[in-house]
Amino acid sequence: MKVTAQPSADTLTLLLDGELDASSAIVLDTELAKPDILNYRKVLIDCAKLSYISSAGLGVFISHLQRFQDANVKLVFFNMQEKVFNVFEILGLDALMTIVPSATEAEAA
Amino acid sequence: MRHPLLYLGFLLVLLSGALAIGGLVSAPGTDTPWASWLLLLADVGTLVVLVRLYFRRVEPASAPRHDEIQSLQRLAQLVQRGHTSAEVYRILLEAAVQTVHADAAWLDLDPTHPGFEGAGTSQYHGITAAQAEALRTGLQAHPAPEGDYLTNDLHLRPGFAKALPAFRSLIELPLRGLHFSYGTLYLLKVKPHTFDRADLSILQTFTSQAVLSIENLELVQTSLANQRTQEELKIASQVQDSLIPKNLPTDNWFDISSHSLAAKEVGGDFYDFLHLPGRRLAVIIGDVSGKGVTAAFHMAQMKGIFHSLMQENPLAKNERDKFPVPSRFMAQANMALTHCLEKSSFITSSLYIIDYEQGGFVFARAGHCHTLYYHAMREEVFYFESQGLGLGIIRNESYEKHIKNQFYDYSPGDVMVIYTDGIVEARGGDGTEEYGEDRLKLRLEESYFQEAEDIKSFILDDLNSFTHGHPIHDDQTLLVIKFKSAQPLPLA
Repeated sequence: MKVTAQPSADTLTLLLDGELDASSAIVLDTELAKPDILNYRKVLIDCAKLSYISSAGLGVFISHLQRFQDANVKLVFFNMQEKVFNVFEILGLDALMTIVPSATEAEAA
Repeated sequence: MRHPLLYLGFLLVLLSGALAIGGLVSAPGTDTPWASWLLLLADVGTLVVLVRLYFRRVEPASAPRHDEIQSLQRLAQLVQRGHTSAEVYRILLEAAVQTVHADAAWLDLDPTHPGFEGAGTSQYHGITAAQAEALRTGLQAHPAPEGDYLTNDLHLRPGFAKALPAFRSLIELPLRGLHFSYGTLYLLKVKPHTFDRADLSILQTFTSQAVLSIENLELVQTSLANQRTQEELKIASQVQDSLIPKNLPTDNWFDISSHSLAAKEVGGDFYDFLHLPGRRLAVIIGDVSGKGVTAAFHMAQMKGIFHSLMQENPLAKNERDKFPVPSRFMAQANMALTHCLEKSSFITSSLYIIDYEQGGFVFARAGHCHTLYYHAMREEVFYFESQGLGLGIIRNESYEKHIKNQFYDYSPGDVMVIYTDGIVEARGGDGTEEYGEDRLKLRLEESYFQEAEDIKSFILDDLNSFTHGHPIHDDQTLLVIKFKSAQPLPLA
């Protein structure tokens, strides 16, 4: 699992590549836990190359959800594969998080 | 014993001496007897050599280094007798002093050595702590090269130039193991030039034997600790097993079969049943995120929450409110979990309350896997599509907005398959392919007409052949409930 950060003026895009499981969740958690991430208006998660997400992976997003909301930082997921989307949907996270089809919608969100 | 050739030498010198003197005496007055003088000279020379050889210090044979061997044996046997590290150090100090006839000695144990309660302490023999400290300071002021060190002129070392030490000879030996240093052994003699290389080498054998003993002791302790952990886990596994219902509810209106398998000794999956008054049955299934001991604790907690919330409320105004409806239950469980679940953990669960007088059930799905259902009248297999958020994700009152009840009327012959994601996410094929909801649905389409037990076995057999050769990486739970046409209970 590889996490690539692409910062721009008010948006940070994180590209996830590989399987997000208990071991790789730590990498992502470190990235999301950085204090200056709250200076962005939006954090976009590009899931095009995210092939699998385990409960530990979901746990990382869940644990930062409140913090992002409190700081008024929008968390937007896009390019999500159907299989990964299903995992978010079953857990009910689709009603809680913004998941859009592509980068265009993500930027507009 | 001196060599027999030495005595033969003396005999020859005596004979040749006599010969030379005889030659000189028997022929006085002749020309100078050069040959006899020469012989006498050679003879005296040989005699000097022989006398020196005779009085040479005779080394005792090597056999009597008895006490050294005994000390070594004592050190070696310590491990087998299950002694402690402290005893090994004590014996090492004793044996070292005895063997090289040291006047004093001390042993400093490394403070960084983990897991030994004597770490950082020192043991003294024939020397006070204060004396040792003075020597230590002197030695540290001008450290000797790394490793074993022997000096017979301690007073010449720069650190001791001002204050003359009471001891002139010193051996310093570090106790080095494979992974760490255990300490340093110091041996002292009052007189200068009293330690030799042989002393150093026998002491090296001692220290390496002692280090070996310590390392073995630690290995034994580690393996004992591991064994204890394994035992504890076995107990945990048994305790958890007792939390899972063994006696499934039986009645003539349904048929239940269950399966559960943890990926590790203990797991985070759970299910339970509870008979409620008024011919109702509560069925709960859940999955704690993560695996192993942490998940197992939360699983036990969830079971406790289930049994405490599913108590009859005596203050309820009507029959319906006596037990919480599934959505209310989930909201209450979510609040109960708020303070004890780590931030990144969550629990998915589904609660079903089946009313078999009414022939219907109500359920709420808190982020748990969709329920698979066979509808006998329509001859159709489908997944219930319902919304519901997992527990522990939103930790405030607003959770209640994210959970809904769903009501359904069942008919005899209907089959309900309840499971955890360990079933549908089990991997097979090339290791990335998942068992999946579609395959599970197909299996029910092929087996719905069988008894619950046979449907369960049919699904599990297919799952096992799919995952064959792959380790299970998540806990698996599968419940099959088959509704039957209610028959009156036979009269007792």
